[in-house]
Amino acid sequence: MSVNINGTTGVSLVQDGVIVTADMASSVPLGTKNKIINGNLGINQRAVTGSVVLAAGVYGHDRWKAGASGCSYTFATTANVTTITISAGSLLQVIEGLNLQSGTHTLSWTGTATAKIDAGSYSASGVTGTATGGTNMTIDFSTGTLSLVQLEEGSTATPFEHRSYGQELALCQRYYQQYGSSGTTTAIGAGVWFSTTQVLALFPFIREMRTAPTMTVSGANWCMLYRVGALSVSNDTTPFDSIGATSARINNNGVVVAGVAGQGCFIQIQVGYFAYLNAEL
Amino acid sequence: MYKKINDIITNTEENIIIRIIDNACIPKDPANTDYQEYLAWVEEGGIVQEAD
Repeated sequence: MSVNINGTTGVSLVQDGVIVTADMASSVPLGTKNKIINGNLGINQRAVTGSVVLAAGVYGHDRWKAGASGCSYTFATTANVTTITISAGSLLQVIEGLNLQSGTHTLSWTGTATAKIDAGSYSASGVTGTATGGTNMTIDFSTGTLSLVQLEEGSTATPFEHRSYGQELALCQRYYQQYGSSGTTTAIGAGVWFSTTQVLALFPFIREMRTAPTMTVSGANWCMLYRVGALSVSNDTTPFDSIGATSARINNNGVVVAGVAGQGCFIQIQVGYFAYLNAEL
Repeated sequence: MYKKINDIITNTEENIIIRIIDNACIPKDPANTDYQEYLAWVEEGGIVQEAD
């Protein structure tokens, strides 16, 4: 296989002297062509496992959420390709309009599931739909198996575009970020003891999000609050305000052991606790 | 279902709403889907709890 560049026919793929794909540059989307994020289903920040049962609108694997009737699925990964088997309900991805240009788009995947674009009809791989630039588009999968999901401009499905894990994770983090670990503490910010029971601190996000995210913690004792020579533990279930797309203020009002007003404070999420940032569509 | 919260320094209403069921801190950002749901809930007659 070779590539011919010709002033008349453009860029063509040639195999055994025969043009396989003529004028490739204008007929085949080249580079970051896949509008689906996490089409390989390899990003799973929420760490769903086993038989996944999602209520309507709840997210499982990154960027994939249950439809109006919820969704039940299992999944398995072989040779770095994750396949989801939907047993009930539907699984959706809403594609942000900022990433779409007007025109025909083609949705392709591997597996037995059927899918539709927006208000279309469920069909096998090769579904086409029309995007309006700047307007969100919804991809909707019904029961069956699916992997290697791709939505691209044009009316022709081309081979799946494999992006690097880091690229895919970064794309997902525009919509959802999760801080904390079941195995170690996680440093997230620093600030000041505003009073003996209240800490104010900066929480910078690792990546700018789509919009100011909804923020939750997994429990009132979610973080450790260091002061000079000692530490305390949070006792606050709503410790965030001044939330923006790139940072938030930790306003932790309530502690297990009092601190000292005026001292600096270093903040780490406790082992097994989490902070969730949700800016999904 | 939702509750206002005041800034402890200025005692003015914060720029977030608390969703009581899961203690979510929801920013008053029109592009945030949880805030959109909150606004729809208010539009349908929901009464938000005042700050303590």
